[in-house]
Amino acid sequence: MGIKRYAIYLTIALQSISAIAGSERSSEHYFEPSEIAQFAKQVEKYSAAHRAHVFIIGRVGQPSSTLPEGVEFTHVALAVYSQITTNNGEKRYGYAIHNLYQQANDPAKSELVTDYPTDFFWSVKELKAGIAIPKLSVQKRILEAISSGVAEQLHNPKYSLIANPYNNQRQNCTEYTLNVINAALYKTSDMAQLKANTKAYFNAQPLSVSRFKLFFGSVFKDEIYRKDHSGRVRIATFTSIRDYLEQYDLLAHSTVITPKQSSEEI
Amino acid sequence: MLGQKFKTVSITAATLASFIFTPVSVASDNASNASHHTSQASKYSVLTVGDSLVTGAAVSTAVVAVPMIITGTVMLSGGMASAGIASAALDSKSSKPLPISDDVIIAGPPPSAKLEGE
Repeated sequence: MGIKRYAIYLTIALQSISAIAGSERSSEHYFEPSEIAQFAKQVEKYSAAHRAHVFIIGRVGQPSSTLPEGVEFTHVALAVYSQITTNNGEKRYGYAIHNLYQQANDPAKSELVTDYPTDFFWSVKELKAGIAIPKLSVQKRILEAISSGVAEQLHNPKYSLIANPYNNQRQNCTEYTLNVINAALYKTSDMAQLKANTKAYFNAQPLSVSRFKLFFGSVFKDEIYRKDHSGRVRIATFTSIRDYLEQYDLLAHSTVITPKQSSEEI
Repeated sequence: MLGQKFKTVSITAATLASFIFTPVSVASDNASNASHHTSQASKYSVLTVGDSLVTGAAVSTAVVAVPMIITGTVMLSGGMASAGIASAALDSKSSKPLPISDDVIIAGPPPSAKLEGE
């Protein structure tokens, strides 16, 4: 392979890794602001119609065609039905979204950020939302974990796009979301216990990206960390979390929402 | 021959450099804290000005969000205990949708922006 072709291949390879599960907070928008706001409201009203107090929400930060097999959403968080006080002191009702985002100036670090549906979908490449609503008993536990501060204790600011959900060396948005769900279910913030349970019961998504791509990704990008994996890279995704809830009879409802198609059952 | 090699090396270097030093799509699609402050202001602006206005909806910046706590069959937050909306709308046995404000609510600037200029 010539040097030029090699470089081009390497560039494409690295870009494909970067499309896996970015937890970005961007100012760019690819749809009309009114479309984004209307879609965000559509997602809120759908969830409210299902009386979801807490649900797992996914968005698509890259065109679906660029995503690795088995990865449908690039960012995952918890949406929590809340009383929202606005800057003029008025009370409003809607969903606040509890995110783990990459830090602006250091992509290998993350921070916990609460934003709102219009913020959440602001920079998406497709207006598409994944929704997984746990059973009410699970929602109650998650609310308790958030309200008691347990969810914050689970944050590991060392970020990796391909974080291994079976250990706590690095963390991404989906692993954090899974940690909160498990901490709520088991009523513990003991990370060793949580990871032991995750290994026993959670099926992470094997990543269909070649070792070559992952190697160069880890060389060139601080936020692509390979060393927390042994063997094949496996990650938490929206779908694997949804499947986990369903497998253990913890899921009430799941769907994918698009503007044209109000809902499409998974 | 030499020119061709130089061209190849240049293209290779440029390709790699553009990847390494330019933010790549999702992974580094972050705004810095300062620019995020600007972006929230910009977001507010584009949501409220001219054709971008969401029909009939006010745009508000959130200060704080309090999760609703489920107690028994009714969900209440501290602020909702006295609100008439609470028991009827939020009874977990009800089939009515949870109330959702028509306003478009967005996050405020990051806390670091509050110290800018000090």
